[in-house]
Amino acid sequence: MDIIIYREEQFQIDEILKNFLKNSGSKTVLLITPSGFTISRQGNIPGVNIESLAVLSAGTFASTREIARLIGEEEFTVLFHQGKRYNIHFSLIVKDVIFVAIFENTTTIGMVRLFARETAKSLEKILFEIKRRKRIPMSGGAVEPENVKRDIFKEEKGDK
Amino acid sequence: MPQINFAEKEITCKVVYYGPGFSGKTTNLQYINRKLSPSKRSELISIATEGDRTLFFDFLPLKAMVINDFTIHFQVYTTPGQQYYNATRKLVLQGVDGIVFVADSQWSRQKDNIESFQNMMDNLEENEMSLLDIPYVLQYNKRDLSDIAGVNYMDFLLNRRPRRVPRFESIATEGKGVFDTLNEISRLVITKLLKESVV
Repeated sequence: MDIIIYREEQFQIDEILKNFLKNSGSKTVLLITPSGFTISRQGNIPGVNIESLAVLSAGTFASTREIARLIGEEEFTVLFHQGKRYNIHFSLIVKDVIFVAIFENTTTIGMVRLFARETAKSLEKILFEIKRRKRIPMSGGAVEPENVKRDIFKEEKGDK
Repeated sequence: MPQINFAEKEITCKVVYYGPGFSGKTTNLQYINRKLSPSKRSELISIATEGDRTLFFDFLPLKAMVINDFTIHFQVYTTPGQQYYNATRKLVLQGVDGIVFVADSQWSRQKDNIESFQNMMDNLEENEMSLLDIPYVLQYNKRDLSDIAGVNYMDFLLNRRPRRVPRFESIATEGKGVFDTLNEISRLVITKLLKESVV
């Protein structure tokens, strides 16, 4: 599945996610694909690598999909991890887009679920357009493939 | 499939290191992580079991280059090699843009190499993808060991499809061949991206 996001769509998604944070009292929210790409993210938890969080969330969701299959369920659409300070709520919205909300005990799972559902509805049309879009071949004026240099990554001396 | 974000001016591609258990996939990523400037990479994530075998996957985000104002990022993954982790391998292959197949050069592991290669093709097919469309390279690892198969023989086993692909001899523990492999797959992925995308 190609994921191609135009600037206006990104702004719209960001605004919808900001509203979710405000309404639900969550700390961070991510929209990710099952292959681990981040479509959008809002909010922050200091010291947390969001990209890693997104990839591991996709992995977690995928493994529960396998668990579902093993026990004869088509899909688990919601997953919840409870911690001492932070909790994580995963939900599948549209098809193949995972909504991840991280929240503290200052709000409740009920509030998060309620606003996650509302947010999913608001995102549905934009995400559908993004997922439907296909790449088109490149026209003139761009970098020629022959000019892609051979040493994209350089090995440094000594450990970094 | 790459993710293209026009607002952030970012393109993200996924590269997967595939191969049988203990062939050196994680060692490749650990070496890249050690020898690459921190400005070009983020933190390596590794979920391993007690025996140092990869349980879930390893993950290393890299920043490759800038083309037409777009920064190209790579998300590099390894897969768990053991047979019983096939569900994880299948999901890591989802949306893959380039593959490095890491084969173990030892004679005793040639059967495992073939089985793993076949398993990769099966899993790609289940994800509705094919090696005909995805750039990939081969890495024959552990060339420093004594009881190893010749390169021509390994080519005969693994590189005799209609499209012959670049292959590299390596000693991942010492870093030999690691960056050559990474740079070649990166170049192939970016070249394909430039041919097919609008940026």
